[in-house]
Amino acid sequence: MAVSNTADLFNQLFNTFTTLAIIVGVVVLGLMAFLVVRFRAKASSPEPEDTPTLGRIPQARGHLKTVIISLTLSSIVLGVLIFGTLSATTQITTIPAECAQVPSPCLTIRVTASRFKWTFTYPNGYVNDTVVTIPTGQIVILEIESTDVFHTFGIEGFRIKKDAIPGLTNKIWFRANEQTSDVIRCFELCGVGHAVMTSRLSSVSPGTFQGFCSTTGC
Amino acid sequence: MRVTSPSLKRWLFSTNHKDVGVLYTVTSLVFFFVAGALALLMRAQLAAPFGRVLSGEVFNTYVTIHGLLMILWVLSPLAIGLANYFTPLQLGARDLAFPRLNALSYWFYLFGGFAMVLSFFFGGPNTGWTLYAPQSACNDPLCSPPGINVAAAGLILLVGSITMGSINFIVTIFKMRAPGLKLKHMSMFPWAILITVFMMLYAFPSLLAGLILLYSDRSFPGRLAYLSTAQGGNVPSLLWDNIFWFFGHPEVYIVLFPAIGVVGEILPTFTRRPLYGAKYITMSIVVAAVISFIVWGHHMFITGVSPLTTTLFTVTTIAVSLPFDVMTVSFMETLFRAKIRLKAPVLFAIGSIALFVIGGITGVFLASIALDHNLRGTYFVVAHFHYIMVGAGILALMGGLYYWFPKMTGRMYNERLAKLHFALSFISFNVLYFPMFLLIEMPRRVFFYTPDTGWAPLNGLATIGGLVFGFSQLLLVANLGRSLRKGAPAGPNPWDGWTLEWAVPSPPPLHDFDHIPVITEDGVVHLSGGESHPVASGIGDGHSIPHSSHSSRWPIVVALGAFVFLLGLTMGSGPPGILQLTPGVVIGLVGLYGYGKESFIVHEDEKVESWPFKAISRMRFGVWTFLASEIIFFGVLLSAYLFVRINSFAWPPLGYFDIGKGFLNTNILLTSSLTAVLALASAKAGSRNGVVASLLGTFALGAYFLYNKALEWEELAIGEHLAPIGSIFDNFPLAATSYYITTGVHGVHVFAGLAMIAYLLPRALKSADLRHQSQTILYFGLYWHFVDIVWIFLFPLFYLI
Amino acid sequence: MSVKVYFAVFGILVGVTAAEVALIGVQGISRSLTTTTLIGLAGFKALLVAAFFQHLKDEPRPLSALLLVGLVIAIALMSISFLQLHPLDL
Repeated sequence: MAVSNTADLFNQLFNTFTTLAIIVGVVVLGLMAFLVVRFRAKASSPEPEDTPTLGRIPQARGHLKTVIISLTLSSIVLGVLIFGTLSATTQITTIPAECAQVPSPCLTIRVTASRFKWTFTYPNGYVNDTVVTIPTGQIVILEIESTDVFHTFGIEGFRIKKDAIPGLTNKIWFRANEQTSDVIRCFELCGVGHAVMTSRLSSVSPGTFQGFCSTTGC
Repeated sequence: MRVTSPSLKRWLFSTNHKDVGVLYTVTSLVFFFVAGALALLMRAQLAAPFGRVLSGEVFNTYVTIHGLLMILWVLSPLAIGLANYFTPLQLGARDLAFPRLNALSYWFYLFGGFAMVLSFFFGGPNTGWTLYAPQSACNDPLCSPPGINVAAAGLILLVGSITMGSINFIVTIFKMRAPGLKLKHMSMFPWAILITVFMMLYAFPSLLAGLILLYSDRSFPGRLAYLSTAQGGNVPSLLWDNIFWFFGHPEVYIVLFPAIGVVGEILPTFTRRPLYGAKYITMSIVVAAVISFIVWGHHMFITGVSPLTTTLFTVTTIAVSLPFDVMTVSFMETLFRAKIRLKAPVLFAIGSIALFVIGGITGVFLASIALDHNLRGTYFVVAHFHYIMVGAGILALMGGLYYWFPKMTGRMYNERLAKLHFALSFISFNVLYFPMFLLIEMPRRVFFYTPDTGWAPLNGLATIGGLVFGFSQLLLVANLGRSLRKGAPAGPNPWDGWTLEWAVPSPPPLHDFDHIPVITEDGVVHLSGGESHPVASGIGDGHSIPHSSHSSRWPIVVALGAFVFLLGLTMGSGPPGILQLTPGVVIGLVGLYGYGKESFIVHEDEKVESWPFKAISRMRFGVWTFLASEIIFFGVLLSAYLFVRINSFAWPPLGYFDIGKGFLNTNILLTSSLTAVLALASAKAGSRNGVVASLLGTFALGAYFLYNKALEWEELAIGEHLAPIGSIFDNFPLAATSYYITTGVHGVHVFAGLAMIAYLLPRALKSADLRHQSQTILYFGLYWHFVDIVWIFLFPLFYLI
Repeated sequence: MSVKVYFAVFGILVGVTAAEVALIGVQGISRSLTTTTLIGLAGFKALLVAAFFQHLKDEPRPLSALLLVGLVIAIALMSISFLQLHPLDL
C-alpha cells in the first residue's frame, strides 16, 4: 500500500502500462536491430527481383493479412490499456458517495492558487499558506480554484493533480494511508514565480489532527 | 537579369520552386541553430541545482521562443523546403501551381521569423509556446510582457505563409501530375505532403482566430475580455485551451507526417525493395490525420471538463496508435529480405523509426486520463514529444537532406562524416531525453530546482547529452557546406532510386524536365515520352510556348508590407494609430498592385492527370481551397461566441441588438450578392455597362453595410438608447467582446472585398476583353458570396436568439 | 445559369430572411426549437448562395466534400466545447 489511495491507483496502472511498454518496445526494437543486421547488403548478394528502378512504377508488395494481424494484436493491448484507464479514472474522479451524507465524514479544504502560492482554507475558516495538514485514514476533498491565472495543483507523493483555473472550482479526493510530509508544486507555467510556487502537505494521525483542530479551529 | 545567376537579386525575386525550396531549407536550419542555442542555455541552467546561467524571466522567454521557433519555423519549413524542391519533380511538373504565391509564402515565413526574434527585445512572450490564458492576455506586471503582441504578429505572418503554401500544394498535387501519374502511383513523400497540407489548411485557421482574440484582448483591455479575465461565467483558460489545442494537436502531426514521408522515400532506395504495404501506409496516414482532429481534448484531461468528453478523448487518443502501428510494421517488413545499403540517409531513417517507437509508446501513457492525473506538466511529457519531434521528425528530415543533397547540388556529401553525425546524434539524443522519462516528479518550465529534490544527476546527464547533441549538428553544416564546393561530383542518380527526380540532371535545369515523363497503363515510365520544353527541344520563336516566368519582384514587397503593417499594429502599447499602420498599407498596396498588373507566365500543360478535379481550373480550385480555410476560421470565432454565450450568466435580452438594423444589413448584403453575380453574368455576356453598374452597386451596398455597422457599434458603445441603458461594455462585457470581434472580423472581410472592387472597376472600364475579366470577377464573387454566407449565420446568432 | 435563376434565388433569400424575423415574434415555440429552426434556415440560405451564386452545384463533387469537411470539423469543435461544461443539457 502506497502513501495514499491515489498513489496506489497510479502505481498499479503505471506498472501495467510500463510492463506492456517494455515488452512491446524490446520486441519491436530488437526485431528492427535484427532485421538491419541480418539483411544488410553484402557485396555478394544479388539485387532482389522487385528492386524499384527508374522507368517503372514499383511492384506492389505486402498483404492485407499483415495489416489485420498487427491491428488485432495492437487492439488487444490497447483494449487492456483503455479498460484499465477507464476503471482507474472513474475511481480517481468520483467523489465517494459517503461524502454526501450530512454530516459528511469527509474533510473538505479549499485550495486557492495565486501568484505564487497555495492558500488552504479549512471548513471553519482557518487559513494557512505554507502547509496543509490532514488526518490519515479519512477522505479529504480539495476544492481547487485560482484567483488569477492558470495554475496546476499537484501533490508529489500522492500522484494526483488538478488544474486551478479562474472561473472554475475543481475537486480532487484522496485518503492518506500513512503519516508523511509531501511536496506540493505548480505544474502549469504561471509566471516568473512558477518554480517557487511550492507548498507542503502534512498527513498526521487522527489524534494529532484533532489536537491541530482544537488549536486552530480548522 | 539571368534567373540562374548567384546574385542576391536572384534569391530575392526567384519564384522557381527549387530556389524557394533552398531558401526554406537553409532558413529553417538557421532557425534550428538559433532555437537550439536557446535550448542549450536552458540545459546549462538546469544542469545543477540553483543554476545561475539564466534568470527566471529570461528562462521563461527562452522556453517559449524555443518551442515556437522549433515547431513553426524549423520542423515544418524544413519539410516544406524539401517538398518545394521535390514535389514538382516527383510529379513530373515544372513548378508549383502558383509560383509567385510560393515565393510570397517564403517571405511571409521569413518576416514572421524576424518578428519572433524581434519580440524578444520587447520583453518576449513568457508563457510557453502554448500561450495559455489568462496569463497571455492579462495586463498586470506578472502577465506576459508586450512583446507577446509582436510574437503574435510573427505567428500571424506564419499562418499566412502556411495557408498560402497549403493551397499551392493542394492545387499542384491534384492538377499538375504528369500524364499517367495516377494518385496511386505517387511515392510516399508527395502523399505525406498532400495529407499534411490538408491538415494545415484545416488546423491553422484556428490558431489565427486565437491570435486575433489574444491580440484584441490585449489591445483593448478595458473592453474586450475573451481571454484576459474570468467574469460572468467566462472561463478564459478553457476557451483558449480548446482553440489552441484544436490547432495544436493536428499541428504536431503536421510536423511528423512529412518525416514519415521521407522515411517512405528513403527505405525503398536503400533496401532495394518496394515499400511493404505502401497503400496501407498511405491509408494509415490518412486515418491518423482524420483522428488527429478529434483528440485535442487530451490536453485538457484535468481541467475539470465533463467525463463524457474526457472519455471520448482518451479513447480516440489511445486508438490513434493503431494507424501508427500499421505504418511501423510496414516499415519494418520492408527491411525483411531486403538488401540494406547502410548509408547515412537510411541510418537516419531507421533511427527515426526506432525513436518514433519509443515516443509513440510513451504517448499512449499520456493518452490515459488516469495516468495523466500524475504525468501532466512533468518532464515525462517533455521527453515524449521530443522523442517524436526531434527523434522521429528531425532525424528523418536530416536523412532527407543527405538523401537529396546530391540532387540539389550535383555533389556527394562526405559519407564518413555523415555516419559520425548520425552516431553522435542518435546516442546523445537518448542521453539527453531518456532521463527525462524518469523525472516524473519534475514540473515543466521550471527555471531551477533545489538539491533535495534529487533531480540533479538526471538533469546533469541530460545536459551532457544536450551539449553533445547540439554540437554534433555542426557536423551536418560542415559536411554539406564543404561538400557544396569540394564534394565528389554526383550524377543524376547516385542512389539508383526510382522516383522521377532521379531522371533529371543534378542539379536540375531551370525547367526541370526536358520532356515531361509519361506513365502508361503497364506501369512503365517513359522518360522521353511527353511534352518537351522549348529550350530542350530547340523550338525557335514562332509558335513556341511562351517561356514560363521564374522571377518576380512583387512577392517580397507584399510580404514586407504585411510585415511592416503587423509591426505597426503590435509594436506600440494599446490600439494602434493610423500613422503606425500607413507605411505597411502603402508598401502592401504597391506590392499587390504590382503583383496584379504583372504579366507572369505560368505555362499549363494540356495533358495532365487531374482526377478528381479535372473540370475546375487551378485558380478557381485555389480560391475555393482558401475559402475552405475561412470556414474553419469563422467557425472557430463562432465557437468562441457560443462558448461564452452558453456559459455566461448575463446576456442581453432579445431586441438589445436592433433587429431592424440587422434585418436591413442582411438584405443589403444579400442584394450585394445578387449584384456581384450579375456582374459576372454581364462580363460573360460582354456588357461593359452591366459590369460597371453591378460592380458599383456591389460596392455601394457593401459600403452602406459598413456604414450601418459603424453606427451600430457607436450606439452600443455609448448605450443611450439601449435597454438596459448604458454602454454594452459595462453591462454585458462578454456579449460586447463576442459581438465586436465577430462582426469586426467580418467587417474587415467586407472592407477587403470593397478594395477588390476598387481594383476590378478600373480594369473593367479600360479592358477590351471583358470575357477575360469575367474570370477575375468570378474569383471576387466566390469571396464576396462567402462573406455574405458568414453574415447569413451571424444575423440570427446575434440578433434573433 | 440564367439571370432569371439569380433573381429567383434572391427572392427566396429575402423571403426566408423575413420569415426568420417573423418566427421570433411567434409565441408558444420553445427557445431551442426556434434556435434550431433559425440555424436551419440560415443553413438553407447558405446552401442556395453556394449552389447558385458560387455555382458550387456545377463544380466537381469532391470540391463540395472539401468544404463539407471544413464544416464538420468546425461543428466538432463547437459541439465538444458545448459538451465540456454542459454534458447533459442536450
